[in-house]
Amino acid sequence: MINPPKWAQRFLKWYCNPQLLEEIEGDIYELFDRRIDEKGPSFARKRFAWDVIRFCRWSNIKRSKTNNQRSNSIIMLTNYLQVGFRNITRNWLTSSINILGLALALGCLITLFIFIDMQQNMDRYHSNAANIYQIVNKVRNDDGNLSTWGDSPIELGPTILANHPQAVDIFRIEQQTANVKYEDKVFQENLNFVDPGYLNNLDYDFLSGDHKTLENRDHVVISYYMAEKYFADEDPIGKQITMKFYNSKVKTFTVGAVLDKYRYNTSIRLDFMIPMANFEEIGMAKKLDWAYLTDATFVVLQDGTDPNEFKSELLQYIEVQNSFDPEWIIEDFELISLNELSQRNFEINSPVAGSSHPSGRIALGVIAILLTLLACFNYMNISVASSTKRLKEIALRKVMGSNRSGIAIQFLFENLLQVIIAILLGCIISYFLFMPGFNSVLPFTIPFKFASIYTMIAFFLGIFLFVGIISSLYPSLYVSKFQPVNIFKGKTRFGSKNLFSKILLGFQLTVAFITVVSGFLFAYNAMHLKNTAWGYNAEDILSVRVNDQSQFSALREFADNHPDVAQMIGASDNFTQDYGAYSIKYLEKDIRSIVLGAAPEYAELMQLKLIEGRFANRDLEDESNMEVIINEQMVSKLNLSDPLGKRISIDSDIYTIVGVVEDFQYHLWIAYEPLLPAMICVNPKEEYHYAIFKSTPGTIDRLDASINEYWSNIAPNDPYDRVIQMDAYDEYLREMDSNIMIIGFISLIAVVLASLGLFGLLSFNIQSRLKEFSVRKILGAELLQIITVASRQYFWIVIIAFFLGAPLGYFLINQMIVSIYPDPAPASATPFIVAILIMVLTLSLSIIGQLLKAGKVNPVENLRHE
Amino acid sequence: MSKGEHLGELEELILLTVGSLNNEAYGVSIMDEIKKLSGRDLNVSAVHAVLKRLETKGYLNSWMGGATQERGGRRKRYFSLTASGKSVLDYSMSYRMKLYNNIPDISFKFSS
Repeated sequence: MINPPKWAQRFLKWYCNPQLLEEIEGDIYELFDRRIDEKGPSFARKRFAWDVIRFCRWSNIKRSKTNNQRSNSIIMLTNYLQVGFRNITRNWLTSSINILGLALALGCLITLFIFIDMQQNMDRYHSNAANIYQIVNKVRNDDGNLSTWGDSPIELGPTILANHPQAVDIFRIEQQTANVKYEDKVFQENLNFVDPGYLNNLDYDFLSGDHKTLENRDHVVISYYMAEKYFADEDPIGKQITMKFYNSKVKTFTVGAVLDKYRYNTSIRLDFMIPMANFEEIGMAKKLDWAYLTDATFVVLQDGTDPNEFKSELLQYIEVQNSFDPEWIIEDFELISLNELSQRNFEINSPVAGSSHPSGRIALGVIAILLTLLACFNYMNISVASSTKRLKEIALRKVMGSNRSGIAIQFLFENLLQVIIAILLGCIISYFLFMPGFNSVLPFTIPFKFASIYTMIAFFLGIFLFVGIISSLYPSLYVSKFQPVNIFKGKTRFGSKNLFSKILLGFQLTVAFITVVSGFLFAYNAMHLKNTAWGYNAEDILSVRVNDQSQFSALREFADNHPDVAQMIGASDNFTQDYGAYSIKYLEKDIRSIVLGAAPEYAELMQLKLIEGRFANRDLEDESNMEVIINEQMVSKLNLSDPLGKRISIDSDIYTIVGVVEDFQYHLWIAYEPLLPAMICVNPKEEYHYAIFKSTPGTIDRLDASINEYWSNIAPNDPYDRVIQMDAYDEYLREMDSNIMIIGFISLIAVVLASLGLFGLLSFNIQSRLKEFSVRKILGAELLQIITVASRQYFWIVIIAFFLGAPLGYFLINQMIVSIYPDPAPASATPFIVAILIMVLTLSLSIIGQLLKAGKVNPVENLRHE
Repeated sequence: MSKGEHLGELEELILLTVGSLNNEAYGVSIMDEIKKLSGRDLNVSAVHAVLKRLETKGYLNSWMGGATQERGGRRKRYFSLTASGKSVLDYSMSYRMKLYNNIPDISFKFSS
């Protein structure tokens, strides 16, 4: 028996539609048998295979569904799509409320997600980031807690590199300040001694030069910003810049490379990078041994090295380190990967990387999700309510034989369509509005970009599913369950009596109240702190930092001859710039206090407000009787009933209190640190670091310019470092303003969403009750009565939402304010009243039109049947 | 007759063959018949494709025959003309004849 080729038989069986298999197989076999007789088996076998291949046509290939069924479901989908679009355009008002509300919330969500995503993925662009670790020290505090320090022994890095083969490279960062001079430009700068590994292992972008530059110890690498500051249009490469370190050593470096602008997701941003080899030579530390702590030590491990195992090898150095410095007892090391460094930065004391505290990110994330939920609920409510108009359609479809799932799918499809439109719109809003707006209040610029394409896909898929399910599933399941009989009989009504939709609306309003109340409390607090009395008069005051006595004397001479100077004194400390914190003693009490030292005229010049006593005496001959003035804080902390004449001491120095002044703001970040007790004492001339000028009114800018000019003559190697006292708080105030703006904006969105929700629900409710209102009107109801009837149920929801939301908002924001600001504004009813007014105003504005429509209803039109 | 109902050349040939085979028409027999009468060597898969097309157009009926000893016991699918299949053949035959009859007898004159 001769058989056709096996593979061909199997192939035919595999592709062929089983309904056609028998006839096709039959014909091929018949031909095969005949050909064996006519032309022999090998020809027959070849032809058999050929026939099988020829039969492999589209029409014979099997598929899961037949042609007809498939095209039918596609037709239905296109049909749903069309019906969906028609419904969107027919109910354009509700559709646009729906879509716009959702898009607004999604725009916020997208923007905040990008922000959080970027913060979570700092420094990932360094190709070797996963193998780079910062070695941090765990040190036992005085209060018994372990704290993490970025500072580590300067010897640790080289020792590791020499003794551990797993460590491919190390780099250390030592931060110092110096006066940097190029031609006539002199500024005080933060500069960093780094090992060459810093540039070799991190993928910074170079504008010119390369990462090998630091191997030459006379080279300096500068950042883009510094190149702009010092060289403007010139090419910085090869230029000589001179650094005067604080121990007065001077060294000249050649600019060997310029870094490009730091990418937005860079957490370690250095401006001047000098080879570490210079550090010992310049000799700022007495001795470079294990006792000297440098600011950061990074180690680059071989691929595949387990950081924990490596750490256990390092534990032997704890003993070495502790034997050198018994004051600073290390208990443990930890290796923190560069990938996680910026996220864990807040745990580290004196970090080299800059990044924000994660609580801000968490708060923003919660807010974004709340807003999205708010919009989803909005959507659910309105989409259920708007189905009222389509009850007959649903009933008719059911009568014609559609089952529940068919109707549910149709509604799901329509809703998902709107969700997709909302997501697209949200992207547009985020890209063109929210992202630029958000960037404008941030100190840096975030591009509209996700950390990776996978994050982006996962995020959009996630919001599509999340928003789609929450906002589409419920309405479609809800409306598809009605019985046609009840609909045609007119028994099924909804919107007005649905408890679930009321709960959703209540939730929206509650969230709106929470955000509005907390927003206003926050803003109120920020405003209060912004307007906190400085306690002194900063007008016309300019302070210049001097480096030695000769500079001060030169400025004194300048001041004596310049017409714009009203007064000029010296000080060793100055408000917002310099002050020390010391432990002061009064009887057996011991408190921490801020101490400022200055010329005796300082308090008077700053116009501190004297409560009792007098300012310090001008003459300072009597060393044994030093006079101080103290602030109110100290009076209350020391519990002094009659402070004048009391003696307090710092170490062995004894001071006599001669005056008490109102609290004054000695520090910059008023809001973030509590105001401490403070005292101003009189310092000798030799200790002056500042020359404080008071200009004649209105001439401060002119004076500033002429001092600057004079300065370059008397101190060509030192920066003209001055503060116009009036502007000292500018950055701080700007930060306050951005906080107020962000919180205010979020509250605004929440209020808008809640108003949209109320508006949408109410307008549908009124629509479906037009006949009722008409009948009431015929029976003699007044406009006001109808408005009352129409809005009564919503009124109660608003009231309940207020009593839930307002205290909750107060509680939440108070927690936050207390944790950020140690001296919060005293509690006050103002923010509550403002919040209520705002809510009532927006809510009534959004519904007044609809209520009037209900009141002005024309009975003839609504009750006429034909 | 609308445009979609025109017959292709192969369609017409096979439709004619099915008609002429009179209830004995199935894939292989149609192929053989065409080979015998016109000498055209068709692949059986092409015959099947055309048969299916004609059936969806409604010109052919089909049914499965009884099982026999041939072909490993596999049944045959037999085809027969439907009324509309017959009428479409009539139509195409008639207009062909009309056109054919209009050809002048030039060639005869030359040869005589």
